[in-house]
Amino acid sequence: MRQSGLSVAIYALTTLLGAAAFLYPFWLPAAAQAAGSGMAHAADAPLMVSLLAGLCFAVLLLEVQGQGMSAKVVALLGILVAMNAVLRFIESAVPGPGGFSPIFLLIVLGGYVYGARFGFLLGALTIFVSSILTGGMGPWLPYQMFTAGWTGMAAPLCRPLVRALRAEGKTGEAVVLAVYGGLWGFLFGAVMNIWFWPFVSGPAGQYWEPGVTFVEGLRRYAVFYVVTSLAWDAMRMAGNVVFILVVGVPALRILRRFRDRFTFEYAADRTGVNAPLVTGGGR
Amino acid sequence: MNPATQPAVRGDASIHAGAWAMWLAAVVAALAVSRNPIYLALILAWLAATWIAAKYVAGALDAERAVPLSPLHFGLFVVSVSALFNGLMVHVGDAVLVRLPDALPLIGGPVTLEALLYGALNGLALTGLYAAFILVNQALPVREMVRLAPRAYYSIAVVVSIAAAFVPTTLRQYRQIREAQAVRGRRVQGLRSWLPLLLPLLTGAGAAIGRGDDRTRFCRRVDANARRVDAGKPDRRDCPGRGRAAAAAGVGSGRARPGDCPNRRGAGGGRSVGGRAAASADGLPTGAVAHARVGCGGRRLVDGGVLRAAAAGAGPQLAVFLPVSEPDAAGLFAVDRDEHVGAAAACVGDGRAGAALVRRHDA
Repeated sequence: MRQSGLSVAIYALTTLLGAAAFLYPFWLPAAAQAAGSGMAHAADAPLMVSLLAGLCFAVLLLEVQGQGMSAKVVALLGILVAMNAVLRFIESAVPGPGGFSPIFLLIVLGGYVYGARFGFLLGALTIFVSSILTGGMGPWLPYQMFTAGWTGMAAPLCRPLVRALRAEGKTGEAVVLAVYGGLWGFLFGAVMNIWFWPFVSGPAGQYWEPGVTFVEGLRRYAVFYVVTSLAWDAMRMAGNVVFILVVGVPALRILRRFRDRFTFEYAADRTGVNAPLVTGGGR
Repeated sequence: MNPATQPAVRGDASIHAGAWAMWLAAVVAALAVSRNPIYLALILAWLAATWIAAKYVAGALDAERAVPLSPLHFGLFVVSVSALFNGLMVHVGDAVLVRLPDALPLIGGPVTLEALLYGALNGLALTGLYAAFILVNQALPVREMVRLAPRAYYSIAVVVSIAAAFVPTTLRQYRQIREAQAVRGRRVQGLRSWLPLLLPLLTGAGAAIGRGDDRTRFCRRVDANARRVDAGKPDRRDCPGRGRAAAAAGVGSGRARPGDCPNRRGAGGGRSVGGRAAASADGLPTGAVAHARVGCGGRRLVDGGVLRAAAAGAGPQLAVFLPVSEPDAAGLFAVDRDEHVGAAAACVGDGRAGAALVRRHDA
């Protein structure tokens, strides 16, 4: 119990810190303004923030793999990551429209069925392995891993909604997940843009003037986003929705079957009969 | 010996992966903290010098590895875009070039030379970052990259190794199956003829079909599966190699006894999921082993605990089998902690996952 409380705390803290790190271009001007003198640390802020995000990522990764990485999970995760990476490989060879990428299907469904840890690893490692395969390793890689990891990590949040709708195993479940996937289609783009945003907008000191606040920074970003990325990300959104709606239900069935097969436990034989008791919904 | 005429062996005599990582960190840090044009120029010159040295002097670059976009093209695009964006959005500076009507939201106001130049500098820094990553990408083989993973992350390193080995394994199997089918006189025309190609690929039968040597053991359930794969063919005995054994899916290796066949009795003790999910140890590319032996400073990647867990818990679910040079049923799962546990590889068959943990004796 204490262990799970600690886990939740780690998730919450690293996510908060990560989000703050991602958003620093917006709060930095305001902070500098409040300090009065201006740009004491404007120049090294990007570096500090990247370090912070990197450390958060390392901690989260350690926490996520710490428990429950049995050999079966390792094998399953390896295969799902490989399949997803192949999907992304195909996508980079035959580019889909706009920001569409087939990888989010498995990340969302995997996170939803197997839980936050698995989803996080599936998202982050998919990006990592596919970047190895395609040579797409760049300064954006940590941000992509973090963001795709979040996509999978937050997927279990759909569970209560699905339960409330009594839609488990039905089309309604796929609809909920499709909406979630569509939302992340936009979010992924919006978050990913931020990694180079300070390079585009310049450090705070460059456009610092009285009145440039958090809100102003967000406004600039919103304009930038709408102009450069909205149409692109809309394709990703549409792709995710359609993809999850079309193959969501059968894919969920397959993933569930594996969850049942992989999470069984042998119980102690209390009856004296030789056959072992199998729990965990084995088939 | 002139190093220019005698290129170092990649990933071997060339620069250590840790050195590359440090170099990358230094470039990123330097680029992140400075927009001073002189410093930026120095950093970019340093980058270019490293690039030239790695490419022409050390011969450490792998030209075969894909580069999404050449750094020069990237730079051209990014520098112009960020100069334009900055010039339009930021209205600071004395050298006013044009004045846009104030009515325009955000971009209204003076467009200054300073803002344009600053934007271009931002673009240059971004280009430097990109180029540094591309260089490391080309200079470091994948196994060296994974080897950088700290010991604490070994299970994640295993996952990455499995996934990274999957693509070359599958491609190799695909080629083998296609060759085997070609020997049988089958051509791939239309959708229907893809089935005999894809099914063995998915069931992991490629290695055995392709090689068909007598080291492949024959397992009944695998055979049944192969029969399904070959359904509709007049005679499945005319496959290349040594007859029916070749048609059996890719289970087993010469080093495993027939009794080790996971289809009869799972290596973990129970009945296994059968040949469909069988992972061929021989089907593993040497690359997979190389991949998986990385991590943890090249020491032991999968320790005895994981292997034992796989053996004990995975029985009915995973076709786990350990080809060893001296098969010993009792000693099969008693993992000697001093041995190298080489690779963890997995394959998918019929939607089921199987894993083969290959224990390698130190050569």
